[in-house]
Amino acid sequence: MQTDKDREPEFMRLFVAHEPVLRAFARTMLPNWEAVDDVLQESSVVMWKKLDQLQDEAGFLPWAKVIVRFEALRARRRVARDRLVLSEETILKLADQELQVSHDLLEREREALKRCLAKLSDEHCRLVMMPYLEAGGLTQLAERTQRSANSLYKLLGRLREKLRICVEQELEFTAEGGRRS
Amino acid sequence: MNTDDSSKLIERYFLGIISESEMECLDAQLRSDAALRDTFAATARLDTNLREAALQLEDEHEKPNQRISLAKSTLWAGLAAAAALIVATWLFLWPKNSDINNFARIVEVGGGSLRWTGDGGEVTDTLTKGLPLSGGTLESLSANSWAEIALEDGSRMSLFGQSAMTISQSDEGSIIRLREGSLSAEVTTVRERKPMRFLTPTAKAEVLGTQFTLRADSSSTRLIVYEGRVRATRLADGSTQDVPADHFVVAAADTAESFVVLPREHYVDFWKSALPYGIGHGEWHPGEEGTAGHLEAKPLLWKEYGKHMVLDLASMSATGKDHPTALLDEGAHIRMVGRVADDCEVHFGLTTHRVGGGFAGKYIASRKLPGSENHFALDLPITSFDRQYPCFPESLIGHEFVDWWALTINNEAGLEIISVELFTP
Repeated sequence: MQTDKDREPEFMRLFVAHEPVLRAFARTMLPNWEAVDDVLQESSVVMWKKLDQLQDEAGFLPWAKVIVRFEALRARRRVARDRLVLSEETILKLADQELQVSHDLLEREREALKRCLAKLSDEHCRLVMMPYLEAGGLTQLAERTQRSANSLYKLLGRLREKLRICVEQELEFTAEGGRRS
Repeated sequence: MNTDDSSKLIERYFLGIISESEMECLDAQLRSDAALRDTFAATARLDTNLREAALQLEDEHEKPNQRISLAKSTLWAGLAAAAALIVATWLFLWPKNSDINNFARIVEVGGGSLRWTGDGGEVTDTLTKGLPLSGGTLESLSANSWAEIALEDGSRMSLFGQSAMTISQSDEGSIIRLREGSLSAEVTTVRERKPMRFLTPTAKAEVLGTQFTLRADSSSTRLIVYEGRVRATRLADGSTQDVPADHFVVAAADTAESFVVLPREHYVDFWKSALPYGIGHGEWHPGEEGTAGHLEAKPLLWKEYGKHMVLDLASMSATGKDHPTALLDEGAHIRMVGRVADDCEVHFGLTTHRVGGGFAGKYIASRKLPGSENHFALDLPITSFDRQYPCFPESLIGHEFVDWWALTINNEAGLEIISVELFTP
């Protein structure tokens, strides 16, 4: 019989391998990264406790997604009064659509994003990264970059939209076997 | 709404700058549009990959030998928590904000002049969404200004009209002191937390997981509870009352006035000013023999679109001490009787609350009036009032009527208000 100590490396390997796609899945349902990090942490605890239920490695991702969805909904209910969260109905619809998203798609999108970021100027590239690195949010970022908050929001929104479309096109291009000039 | 607009809403959501009305709009679209849900999910994946790339970049530049992936750090914390709940407790208790002094932030701002004075004496008149706050005083300086703040526990407070509140936090919990004006609050329930305390010149309220509105001046405080229960203390004699949901109490400085909990009034569809009671801004002139008294608009420093101007303002509360709250029906009209000495445009405004509690919005209607010694009597259909900002609900129909104001930008206009009435013809 395997002890917890025996199973720990196996669980760690599975969790680490699938964590990016689980994180993206949670981000679809939750309004900010703080909530995503909390839910991922709580979910990892639940997964560890319920590891006995897992039939085989191939079933890890769908099983883990069900747990993340449950924990995300619990987290959402805790902040139900916050008017800046999606409704439960919308979250469930988003989660249902995203249950099928594989680790492979996220990886391909990550590679595509690298190519798309390379197409941006250094200044714009730094700017799209800054919200994840700067404490104090976009307002302080606006002060530091000497822009008005509104113009910064608009520029960031445009750059991110551009990146999303670029990633889509890169994936199409790769799927076509790189035949476009 | 076209695809471009929807994409912008999605980006605003992921950047954390979406407003409440935009959120409602986005939520409704996501519910009904599977293609938009695909775009939303693709943006969530992009956000995930961008964050990972940003953190990698930071680690490469700053800590080349200490790279720990998000997965490993999450899992490490998770496994440790599974082994011992101490970790979870530690994470709960440890402040998530790197700056321990910032325990609140501005989530919405609008209208005229707002000012923040920090405990250290720093003053800022440029309040923007997302601005982190530590202890200090928030002032809403004009009838059309308002601001909403969120505390780190998720509690929210809206300050509107000419109001001032001081926020502070200590080991004993959060303390909100409403010096004057109006405040609506939604306080979240956190089991481990001590009750949040609200102070006004005449009362103290201790709350935990509740929704209520406070209106205070130097002589009395009116507390209306929509959800939960609030313990109110009248400071003049230390007597207390527990105010349950859908009840209210008035704590006056004068102990001869009653301090009893009453059910919230049934709504009515009419209201009429009883000047000089409830004046917010302006100077009251009692009537002389045979003539009605009037409220004279007085100068006020106003800020709009970043520019300061001096204009003349008259304002008053519509939630009288003895008058039931009025609800704005679709067919209702506002009748203003007054006088202007010079040709001018008069801007009339209303503040509303949602039924069930909480600030809803501010709505404006403007009319050009000829200068005259005679009175004007204007009937303004409720439907002619437009929201002041897009983040407010589009219509004020069905809202509670909280206060009104009238202003002129022409300081020579000599605006006087004799009466204001809400009625349904």
